[in-house]
Amino acid sequence: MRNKLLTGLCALALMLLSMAADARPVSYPGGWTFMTMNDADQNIAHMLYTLTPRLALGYSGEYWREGHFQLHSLQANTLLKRWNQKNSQGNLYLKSGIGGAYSDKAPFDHDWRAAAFTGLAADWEDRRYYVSYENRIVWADDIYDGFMQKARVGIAPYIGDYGDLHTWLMLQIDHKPESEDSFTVTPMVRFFKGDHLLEAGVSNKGKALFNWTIRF
Amino acid sequence: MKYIILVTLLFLFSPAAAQADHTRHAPAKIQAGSVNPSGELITVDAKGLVCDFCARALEKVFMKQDSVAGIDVNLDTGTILISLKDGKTMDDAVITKLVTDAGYNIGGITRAKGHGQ
Repeated sequence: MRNKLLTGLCALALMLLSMAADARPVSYPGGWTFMTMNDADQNIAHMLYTLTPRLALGYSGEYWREGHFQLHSLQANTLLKRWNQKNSQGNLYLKSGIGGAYSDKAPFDHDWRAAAFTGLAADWEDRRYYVSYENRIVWADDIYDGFMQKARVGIAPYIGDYGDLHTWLMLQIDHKPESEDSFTVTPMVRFFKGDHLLEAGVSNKGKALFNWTIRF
Repeated sequence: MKYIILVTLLFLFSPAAAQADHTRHAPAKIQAGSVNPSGELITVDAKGLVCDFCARALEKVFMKQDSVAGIDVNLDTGTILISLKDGKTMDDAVITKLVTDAGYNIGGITRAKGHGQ
């Protein structure tokens, strides 16, 4: 059953033809972005303020379910490069944070440790196809020390006009080398309209994913 | 297999599927503010204009300008329509900065006065 499921997902990915990420981690000067991302492993909330067209700063709060710890960081997202073409856009970002990790699990009984993370995020999209890749190294002293990466492919089943409800069908693959079951595949649907973006899906492990982003 | 069925059903029953035909025939409209028929109308040819959610930045930055009566974005043509208030103007340099700040590049700027729309 598991092999059939994986084969089916691969087939779906091929049918989708290509390519996904967070919706623009640096927006426009003076703009606020709130994001919440929830899946089997983590609950994450970001509140970011874009200072310049290339830099957004804010707070990131995370709860890591498997490791039983919280990660609280001052986060900086930097736009390293943008490729604007007539019918497409590509972006490369550096996303880093520094702060503290808190765990109430033995042997870290209510202890805090210094923590930091950094990673690259790249995306490309036109109005029909979308692809993204993101990696992240997280260090939280002896609470956690690891690497993770994820990639997405997406296709828009119809091309909406500005102001319409937009829909994307996406496939996300998460890879956490330290985990026993290191790959997670999550088919999902992304909707956005106006300043709101919603994503919902169910992974091959039967776990739900729900992300919401609002800009203001 | 059930996941494939789930995704297919989500698409088939999403409002998006019902909208697909409508959007092909959507009339020209302005999304923020209004068109001032007696004011200057500026059309900006932009590069990178592919994502509605990201393009909201254009509305935010232009509608903060005192001179702007309204703005619209056309993802099909990759153009931004800016309607100015009576007697107001906006330099190319200002337009270029605002569009660039919002994340796009400029391909060209054209202007029409008293367009009567």
